[in-house]
This record gives sequence, C-alpha cells and structure tokens, in this order.
Amino acid sequence: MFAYILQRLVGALSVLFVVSVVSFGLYALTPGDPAVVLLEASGMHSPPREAVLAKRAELHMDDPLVLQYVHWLGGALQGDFGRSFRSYTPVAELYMSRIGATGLLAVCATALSVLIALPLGVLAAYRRGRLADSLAQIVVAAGGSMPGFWIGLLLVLVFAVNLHWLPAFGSPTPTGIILPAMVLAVANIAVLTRLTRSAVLDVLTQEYVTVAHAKGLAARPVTLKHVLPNVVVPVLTVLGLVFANLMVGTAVVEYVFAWPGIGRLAIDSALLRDQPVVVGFTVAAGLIFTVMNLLVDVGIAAIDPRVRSL
Amino acid sequence: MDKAMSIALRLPSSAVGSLTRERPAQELALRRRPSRWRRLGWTGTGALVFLPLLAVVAIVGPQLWTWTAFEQHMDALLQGPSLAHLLGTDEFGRDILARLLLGARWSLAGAAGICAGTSLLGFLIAALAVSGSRKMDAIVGRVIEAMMALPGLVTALAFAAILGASFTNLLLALVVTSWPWYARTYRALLLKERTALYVESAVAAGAGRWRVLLCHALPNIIGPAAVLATANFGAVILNLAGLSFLGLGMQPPTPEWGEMINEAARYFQDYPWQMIAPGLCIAATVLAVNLLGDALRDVADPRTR
Repeated sequence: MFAYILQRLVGALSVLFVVSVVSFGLYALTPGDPAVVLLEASGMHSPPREAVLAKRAELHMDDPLVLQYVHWLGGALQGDFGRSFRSYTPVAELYMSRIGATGLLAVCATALSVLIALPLGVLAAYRRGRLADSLAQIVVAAGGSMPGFWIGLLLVLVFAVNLHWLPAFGSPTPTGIILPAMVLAVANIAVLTRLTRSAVLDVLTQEYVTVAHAKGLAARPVTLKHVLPNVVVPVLTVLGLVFANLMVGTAVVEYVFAWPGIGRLAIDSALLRDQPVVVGFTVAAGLIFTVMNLLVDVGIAAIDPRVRSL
Repeated sequence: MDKAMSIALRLPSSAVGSLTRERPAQELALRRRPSRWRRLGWTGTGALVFLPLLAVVAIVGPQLWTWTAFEQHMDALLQGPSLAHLLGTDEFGRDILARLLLGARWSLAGAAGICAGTSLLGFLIAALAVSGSRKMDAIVGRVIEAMMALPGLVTALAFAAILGASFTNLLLALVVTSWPWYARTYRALLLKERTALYVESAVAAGAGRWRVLLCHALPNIIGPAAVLATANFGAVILNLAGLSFLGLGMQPPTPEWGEMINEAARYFQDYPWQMIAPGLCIAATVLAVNLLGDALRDVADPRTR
C-alpha cells in the first residue's frame, strides 16, 4: 500500500510540474508590460521610468525565460502567485476567499447527481431493454446534450421569473443553491447513470450472482448484498472525478447565476484581461484536480486491494 | 481471415474477430450476413439523416432565406414569431432565423475545425511517440497524462483570454488544450498496429518511418479514429458554445449559437424566445451527434452493447 501511494505521489508531482510549465507559459504569453499595469493597479498614475524599471527588476522580467520560470515557481511554492492587475490584491488571497462557495456548490451538485443517477442506473439495468430503460436513456441523453448555461437560464425563467419560487441569482443559502446545483447535476447525471447501468449489468453476469440466485436467495438480498457493493468501486472512481471536475468546471454556471466562486472570478478576470488571476486559476484547478485524483486513487486502493498491484 | 477482414472494413481486428469467431466459415460464405450497419438502430439512422441535412441547411440556408443576418428592421424590434419573421426579431430588429442559419455555419464549421485540428495534432504527437525511441515514448506518454489532468476547458479559457477574444483564438485555444485525449487513443491504436505483419513487411520493403505511418498505419486506424472524433464532436460543440457564451469567441455582430445566447441573455426575462431558439439548435445538434457517436461505436465494436 505504501509503495502504491508513493508511486501515485510521484505521478502527481510530474503532473504538477507540467501544470506549472503550462501556467507559467500562459503568464509569459501575456501581452503588454506587467510592470506598468501593476504599478497603475497599485494606485500610481502614469508611473515614472525609474519606478517601472525597479518593478521590472522586482518581477525578474529582464532575466532569461528559464530563470523567470524558476523565480515564478519559487514564489508559487510559497503561495505567491503575483497580484491582480485590477485590484492589486494577491491572487492567492482572491482564490482562498472564494473557494468555499465553489466547494459548497460542488458538494451539493455531486450529492444531487448521485441521488438521481444511482437509482436510475440500477433501474435501467434491471429493466434492460424495456420501456423504463429506454425512457431513462432518452432523458439522460437529452439532458447531457443541452448546454449547462442554457439550462440555467431556462430554470431561472421557470422557477424565478414565472413562478417566483426561487431567487434568480445564486447565493450560498438553501434556496439560492438549488438552481445552480441542479444545472450542474444534469450533465453529470448523464455520465453517472450510464456508468451505473453498465456496472450493474457487468455484475449481474458474474458467477457469484448466479450462484446466489441458484441457492435460492430472494431477489432483494442478492441486489443489496451481492450486486450493489460491487457496483460501488467503479461508481466511486468516477464520482471522485466528477467532484474534481465540478470543483474546477463550474465556471460557466457560476457566471450565469452570479455565484461568488472561483470559476466566476476566473471568467470575470478573463473578460477584464486580468491575466495573473486567470493564470492563478489554472494553477488552482491543476492543484485541486491532482489532489482529488490522488485521493480517489488511494481511496480506491484502500477499498479494493486488487488495484494496488497494478 | 480476421486480419484481411479488419483491413477491408477498417476496424480493429478484435472487433471483427468477435463477430466471426462464433460462426463456422462455411456458413459465412454461403449466406449473406446482415449488414453490420443495421446495428445503427433507428436513433443512429435518424442522426445520420439529420446531420447532413443540417450541414446543407447551414451551407445554403443563409442564401435562401428572405432576410440576411445583419439587416436591421427598426420598425420591428424584439418581436415574437410572425409570418414575416418566422422566429421573431432581436433587439436590433434582426431576423432571428437568419441569424440562426448563419450561426449554424460558424458553430458547425468551428467545431469541425477544432475536431480536425485536434485529430491532426493528436495523430502527429502519437506518431512521434510510437515511431521514436523508447525514451521519447515514455516522455510523450507522461506529458499526455499530465495534460489530461489539466482541466481542458479551464486552460482553454485562460488561453483564449490571454490571446484576446476572437473566434480564431478560441479555436486555437480549444485545439491546443484538447489534443491529449486524441493523442492517447491514437497512440494506443498505433501501438497495436506496430507489430502487425503489414507494417513489418512495409519496413522490410524499405519504407521510411513516415511512409509506414501515413500510407500503411493511418488507413488502418482511420475507422476507430473517426468514431472517436464523432463521439467527441458533441462535447466540442458544447465547449465552443460555452466559451462563446462568455464572450470569448465570435464577436458581435457576427452570429454564432453561443454568442447569440450571450446577446439574448440580456433580454431573456422579457423575451425568452431569443435565447431558447439557439439553445434548442445546440441541444438538437449535440443530441444527434452523440446518438450517432454511440451508434457508430456499436457498429465498430459490438461488445460494448
């Protein structure tokens, strides 16, 4: 187990290295002179030449690109990702203040998709080829084909504008979170239902299920004790990835609902050309994604010993 | 037998093997087998009819319809559907149907361009890994793995934002960030072909590395590659629409489905139809593409059913 975790850690580090190179590459591609922009953001109008030169030296902008990368990485390791071009706030601070809202949304959306997709997938598998299966597949396929932001606008139209049941803009309150979480769940329900369905079908053809039936067990205990526990592993793997994807992929939906999370911060910054904040998002996303992946891998290995030997 | 069939049908030999192995060869020769295309099912067939129609509409539609996408009718602002304007007009009095038709061109051509670009880039990188040294293969494999861990849409967002908001930049950003999925699959496909007899013969006959790759291996993986591209096309349309909706893609006044929803979102509480129409177009197209992708996968590899 220890060797397995070590091996995964090394893999995660190499992923983070590529993430850092890509992020720095994006930073280095930024057009314009960051020194001037930053000085103006800090409140200095038309900064004098000496101040610009001093800032350039401080940012190591006259060094070769590789050295710049080393300096950038050194700062990043200490949590310094530069400052916003707009508000001059440190980028790390901006993300730390907003990650909670995105986390809350991701947890709710994941829970909602599991609550719907798991029973739906099991039902579709048990009623394979019948009406319920076809219906479930059609609904799921249709849901997965609609753009999330568009579903969001439609839901606002129905539940907020016409029925006045829920607020149009998302806020981290019980009523405010329903619509954005629903929108995010729709796309994941498509993936999870299909996965659950095929996982259940897979297990149903296993010999131990046939044996369980053959020795006269009733259908329900077989489902609960023999089928479902074996469906958990593949579903859990994907569920971890779904959650990781949600943590970094809620941007467009956050934008629609004006949700105060990290995705909306990234989009607002992208539209305002606030590059350090945008680059900070790729770093944050890469970090969250890698850590989540690592946790999923280790968690699966803890549940299922067969994985460790791979 | 299997090998010859797999080459003739341009499908992985495993898929053909699983089809034929159960039946004796004689029976195969005597009786015409039902075409494997029957596996498409009615959803796949429907999609196969719908998508070319959509392409034709996108190509000739803007020329045939009464109005152009840019004409402003100041006497008919924000109107609902009527005989003159079948889908109504927007806040500048422009005909929404005309804009949808022209938008179809940009949305579909954009997504097709991204798919073609990523396929090409993915194939080149996979070819580089497979035909190079073992060390090269290991490095490329690691980079692919790491790039796949980077959330593609996020990187595309950052890349598009830094390059500046324009349609070409958005396409470029999406190609640059989504090649790893293609590269990984192509690499796996090429690795399987590398040990095939025809590759060995080509090498023995003195064919160069790129000749073997392009003239011998490529035709043999083009079937699965096309299935992959189709399966991915729907996601590409959605990603393109999402980033366009944020204002990072096509700039007004040129219509594109995602951009149209972005413009219409400002008025959607009072004039929802403007926003619903392009969304329905996107959903219908993506649904058709996904159904076709699933059906093609079943045709190519019946085991997944």
